[in-house]
Amino acid sequence: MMKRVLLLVTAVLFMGLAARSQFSEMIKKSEVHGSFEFDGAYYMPDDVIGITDSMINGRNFAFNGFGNITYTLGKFSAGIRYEAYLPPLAGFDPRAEGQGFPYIWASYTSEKFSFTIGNFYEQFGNGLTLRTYEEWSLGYDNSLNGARVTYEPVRGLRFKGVYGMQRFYWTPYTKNSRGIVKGVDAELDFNQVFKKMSESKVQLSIGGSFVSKYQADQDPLYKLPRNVGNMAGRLNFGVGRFNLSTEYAYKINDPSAINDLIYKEGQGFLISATYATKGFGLYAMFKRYDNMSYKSNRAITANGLDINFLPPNTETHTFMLTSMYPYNTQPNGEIGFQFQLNYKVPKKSKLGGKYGMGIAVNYSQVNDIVRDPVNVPGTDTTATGLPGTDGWTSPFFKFGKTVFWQDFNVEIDKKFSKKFKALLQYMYQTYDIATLEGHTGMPTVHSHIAVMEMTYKFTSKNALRWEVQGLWTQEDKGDWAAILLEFTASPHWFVSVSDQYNYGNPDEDLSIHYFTGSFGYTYRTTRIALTYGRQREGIVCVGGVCRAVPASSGFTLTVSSSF
Amino acid sequence: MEKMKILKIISILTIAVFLFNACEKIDAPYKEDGGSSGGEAVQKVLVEDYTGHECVNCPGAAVVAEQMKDLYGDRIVVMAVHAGFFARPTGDMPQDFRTDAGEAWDTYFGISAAGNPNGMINRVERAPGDHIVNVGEWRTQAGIEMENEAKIKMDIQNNFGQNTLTSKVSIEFLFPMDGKYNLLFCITQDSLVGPQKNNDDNVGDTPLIENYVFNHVLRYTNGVWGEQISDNESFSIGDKFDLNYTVNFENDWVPKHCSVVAFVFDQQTKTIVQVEEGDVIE
Repeated sequence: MMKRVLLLVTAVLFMGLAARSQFSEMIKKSEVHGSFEFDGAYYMPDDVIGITDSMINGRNFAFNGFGNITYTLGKFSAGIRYEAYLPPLAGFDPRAEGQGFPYIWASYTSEKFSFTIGNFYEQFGNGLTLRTYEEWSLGYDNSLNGARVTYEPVRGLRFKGVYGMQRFYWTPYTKNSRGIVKGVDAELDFNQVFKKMSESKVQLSIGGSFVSKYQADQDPLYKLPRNVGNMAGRLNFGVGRFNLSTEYAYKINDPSAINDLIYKEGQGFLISATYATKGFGLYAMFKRYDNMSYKSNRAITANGLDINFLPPNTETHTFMLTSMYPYNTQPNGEIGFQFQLNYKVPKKSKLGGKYGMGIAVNYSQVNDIVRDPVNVPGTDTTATGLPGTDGWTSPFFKFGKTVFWQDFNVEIDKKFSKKFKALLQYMYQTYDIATLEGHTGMPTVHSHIAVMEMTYKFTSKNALRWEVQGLWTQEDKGDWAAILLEFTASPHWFVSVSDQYNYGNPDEDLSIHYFTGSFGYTYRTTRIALTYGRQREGIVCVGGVCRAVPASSGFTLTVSSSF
Repeated sequence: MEKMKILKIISILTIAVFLFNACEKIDAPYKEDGGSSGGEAVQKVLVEDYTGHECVNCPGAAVVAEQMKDLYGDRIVVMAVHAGFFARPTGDMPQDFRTDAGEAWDTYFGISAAGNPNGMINRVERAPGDHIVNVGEWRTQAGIEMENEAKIKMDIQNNFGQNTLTSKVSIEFLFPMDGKYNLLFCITQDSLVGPQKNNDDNVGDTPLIENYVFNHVLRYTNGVWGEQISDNESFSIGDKFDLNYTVNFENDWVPKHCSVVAFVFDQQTKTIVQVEEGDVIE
């Protein structure tokens, strides 16, 4: 008996030691990474911009925050994200209010396969059939919650399959509350698959995708398609310094609140070409979208539940006044193009000086498409877009008369010495504010904008940057002037002050200064910034998807870090 | 190798089945046949349309509400609540159709904060704290609500004379129910004419319809949350209550264009149990 007890105790001890050893090994091989960001605001009444206590309504404090943690052990990884909007910052959709774990996933990746369950982001090609992503500054998250499989039988040939439903703020999925999304994608890289092409100067890849959404038809008035498919083919071709990329998408009937319940098919087309050599680059792009909104709930009109993504063809501007009128993609129809030329004037030339000089010229334009009435037998109508009809017909390459957007800009940047560099930008912009911001009846804004930015380094660690900007227009709120001063004491500290002054507002009472002061501290991956001041009303756009920003006044604090 | 072949065949077949079932092309005509009006004791639905004269998409939403009335008759009760930013009077558009109750509901339910037009269907809470129904879902959600059995029967008897409305709202419980229930007594008005911003050529002139006809406009309520029907918190089949109201009409309320809209709702969830509508002058 004693022998048996001794043997059992020895076995248990041995197993315990072995398990502990294995656990220690596992911990050593594990990796944990993460990031977090907190954005807090304290709103104050401000008579000058019309913010009263009753408008704030006791909600002086607002808070947006998230924390991501990812765990990796060999081929296995898992992650979780916590979010809180308590309540959300001004301008974020009130449905974002809440807190919880909206993003949980686990994944296994081997040499040829990977499997993911839970929430994930995915993109097929340029996104015309599927793009799920998260953009914190917009409060946008259309992640898929389901399963994803990828299979790469040989290097360069990749298959993907996805299945699930999308996130919509904190609204849990219930039967028929929104659609189920499924899709497949395949891509073949000739240079990787075929040995003969591995050393070739010609680069070639092709791909195709098919996505379908299912949503029940509970509409008592219209017969709605329950399964709506969207398919696309793409090609990338490059030889030497030249590269061409193109994608075409076709979507079957998809009557929705966005297109006012028309039964027209949708088409999307993108083509871009680049030529790049040392000191010189050329870029050209053409795009056309016709009825290409594709959401997993046909009733939604606000930002959310987009299955696909329609890339913009406009340059994204970052200065205060050049970004005042950003472009907002029109999924029901738009046609446009962009050209860009980049040239580096050589160093030691007369114009380039010791360090050379950069010149960039960019032009982009977006028009409405042409919409011709559909010939409905037995009727004599010139109306287009009526609910319950085929909408319109549209010649493919024809530009409509309405110009949504026009942007011509020239930028010159030059380093004069080790301590001093400068940038000059001129921009002419046409902005159809009635269409792009929904201010029906307002005239199109035509504006000239100029920016001068200079940076002076006192020492290798201390630098002062200043910007002077002007916007001149006879429409909307009239002329603006802006100035910014930013002092950086590397590697940790920065302090800045800025003012945007609407001196040309037709209403003198609205000729307001929007001043802000900020200071911040950065240590490795952690950044803390405190800002006080006045925020003007406007819109924030990322990739053609936009969010309105109301006017506000007060403090904001941002803390972010990653590990 | 054999296993790989079988795997490939299964994959191809799966993808083929997926592709063939993933597209549904609808052929014209695209409209369904209409539904039927209700008889006695049917579940009726309140469609609240939160709107404003500066809201360019709102005329389109009003068209949707009218289509629902055409389809379902008196089973649909529409109430246009002018509230929020787009309902504020301006220099060019001085008309003011806002009400204290409408503004309070708009703030409480967060309707115009989520954008206009938006609304509610029987104030059903679709997710914790979320009662908002996008215009594109009004028909669907109303259809779902109408499938419910009526738990309460309501009747309205109106008498109008010397600029005063006297109204009796009768309530009868058809099911045993627990909880606290309130009655909201409202007056709506049709045929108000004034300017309305619009961006849909198919609805009217753009950017402004000069003489837009506003219908179902909320004009009066008996407070923000009405009054409790009874001190009881438990109701049996057959329990009846009569509530009486006397309202002096404002000068710009035209009696022949006005209706009484009365609805019973759960005090805690705010969900509407039943709604009824009756013309001020029969």
